[in-house]
Amino acid sequence: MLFFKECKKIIFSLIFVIYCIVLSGFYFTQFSNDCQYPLEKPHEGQTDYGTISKEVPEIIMPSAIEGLVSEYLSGEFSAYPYGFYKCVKLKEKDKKKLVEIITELSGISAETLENFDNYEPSGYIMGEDGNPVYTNGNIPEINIPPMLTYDDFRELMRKADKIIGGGSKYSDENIVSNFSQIPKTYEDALAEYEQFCKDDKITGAYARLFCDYMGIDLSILPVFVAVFLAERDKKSRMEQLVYSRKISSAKLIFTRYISLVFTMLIPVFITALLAYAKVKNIYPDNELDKFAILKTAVYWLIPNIMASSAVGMFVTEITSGLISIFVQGTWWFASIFASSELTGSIRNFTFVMRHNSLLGYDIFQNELHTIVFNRLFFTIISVLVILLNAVIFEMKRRGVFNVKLFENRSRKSET
Amino acid sequence: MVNKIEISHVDKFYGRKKALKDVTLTINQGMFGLLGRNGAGKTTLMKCLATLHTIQNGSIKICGIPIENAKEIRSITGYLPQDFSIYPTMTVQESLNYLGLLSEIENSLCKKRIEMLLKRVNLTEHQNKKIKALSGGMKRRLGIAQALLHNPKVLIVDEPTAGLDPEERIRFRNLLCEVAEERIVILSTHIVGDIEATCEDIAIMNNGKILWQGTVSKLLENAYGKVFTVNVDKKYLAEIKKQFIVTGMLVQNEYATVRIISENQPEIGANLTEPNLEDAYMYCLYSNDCDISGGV
Repeated sequence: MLFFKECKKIIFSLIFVIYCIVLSGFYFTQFSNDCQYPLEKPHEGQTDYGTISKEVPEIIMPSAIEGLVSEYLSGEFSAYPYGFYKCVKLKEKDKKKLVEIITELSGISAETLENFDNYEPSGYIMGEDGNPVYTNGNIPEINIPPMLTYDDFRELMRKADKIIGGGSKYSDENIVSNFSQIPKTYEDALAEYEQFCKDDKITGAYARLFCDYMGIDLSILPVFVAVFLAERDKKSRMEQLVYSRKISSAKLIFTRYISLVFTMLIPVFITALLAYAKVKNIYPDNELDKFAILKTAVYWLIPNIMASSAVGMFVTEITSGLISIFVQGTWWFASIFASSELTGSIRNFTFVMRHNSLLGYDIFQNELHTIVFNRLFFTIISVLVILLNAVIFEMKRRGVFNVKLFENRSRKSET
Repeated sequence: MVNKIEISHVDKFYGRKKALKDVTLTINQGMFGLLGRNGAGKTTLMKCLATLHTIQNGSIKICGIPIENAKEIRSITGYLPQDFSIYPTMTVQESLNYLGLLSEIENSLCKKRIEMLLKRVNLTEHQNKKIKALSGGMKRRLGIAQALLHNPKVLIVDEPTAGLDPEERIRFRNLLCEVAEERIVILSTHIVGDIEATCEDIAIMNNGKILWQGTVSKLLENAYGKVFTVNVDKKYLAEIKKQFIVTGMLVQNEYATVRIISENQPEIGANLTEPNLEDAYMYCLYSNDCDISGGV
């Protein structure tokens, strides 16, 4: 069968061996490394149970306003407009607009802000004994107007974020996680641990961590294998032999695509089984969901492999392998850095989904609808791209589509 | 189903360049030779027949099937491209198996066909060799085997003997003649010797047009009385090349025996001689006002 022949072609190629080595290397250095010890059950009287983001207006409002005033006085704003860090310095007219917002939020007048010259940022400084000491910094006194509602506050912060250029600490996406971290109580921590054991059956949590790590690799590595396969006919000068056969373009392209995705899943499933064995080893007495890692890998990782392979095949078909790698590399890079959060930041079009924590079952459950949409979206788009690839292939086969740009070989022997 | 190819008033453009100009041909069962120099349009015509190029004007019917029905045409044509190559790391057997799958041949039939074809092209002993280990001649024979895998009614072979040594070339030509007994074989080449040894029906192409179509004997007949030989001192060779179309020369010491083409008996002591196919081909180009100044 053609499917098995195509699989054999891929499996016995050098690029596939490299793919397996890189993937397993990532598994052993990242995921496996995080599975050395079991997650400790919280004990009463512990000094620290960690923190949790919670939207508490009484906490967010003063701390966010203080942050805004502090950044205004420092003259620099931290932002992640496209996922990348940016130090924003405002123009005079934007500063004026921001001062109006600050006055409305904090009661600090424009004159006070203008003439305040004893500004000191909060944070750690070196103490006299050589140890770091936390200082509250020095900014004008903040008096939040009593009439300012939480909704007004959020609206003003949205405006401030817009002036800064988006992606600031005051944006809707970031304000809660930046300004409302509250310490977990013993009860919070215990409830979360019980959720980890009962709802997640432990392997559910490890499945997310596994997919978080493997998703990074599987959003870029398949493009190399796809490019190799797509370039193979060109390099072996097999195109005309293939073009002149009876098989339909759609059948050939889809068979090649399916075999590509299938073969690339083999090492994923093997590492998923290894991951289960590893988890079983550190939780020998707990009840585990045996198939959680495999199930999660199927819906989480297959769309990444499909999309990355589709880009590799399609772009190589119309241009060249190098451009495919560049296109996919750019998309991957942008997606990885599009969010400053490692958990709870999955959006409708997030390509590389992150959940780098064993906890956060609730966060993941809340995102489930988005995740379903997201994964279906990338699956459907990948199939459409491959369909388009089949159309282009048929056109090339009939000699009606000929992209000369980036082609290595000229048409010397055409006549 | 009619076993012939009907090409009628075909035009083909590459951008603005007209690669085929009003090509009209009828090709019947057996060997058919398409002769022409490099750049004449032979490969373009071959690719049009193999559905690898679309035509802009005119029509092509292969065994009664319009060329637009690409899938049907592909199932009845075998194609050996000029630039023939297969995945170098596959074995002979594996490559034929793979191409059989692409031709959608039923598995057990494919195995039988491979066995029979390997025997026919004398590659049975080499079936487990990797493609990269085959000689040029073996690769060409494998090329024929792959093109015949689905037992096509039409075999299109484009410049198949280029780069082969004389022994392999003869073996290959004989193989083509054998397979032509049961199908249409179109041999495109710029090597007159290949046509002379294999084809009776031929067409000559130049600059995208069909200059001439007919039998080899008719082409030779046209050149009767136009080919002469003359023995001259070597120092006059340059002068003779300027005045006549020279199709061959044999230099011995100070003298050279030169074959020339001329409409009339040259007044330099030339003797009328029997034309060969090379002479006839050159005469055809000459009589059709083709630029052959860079000729022999």
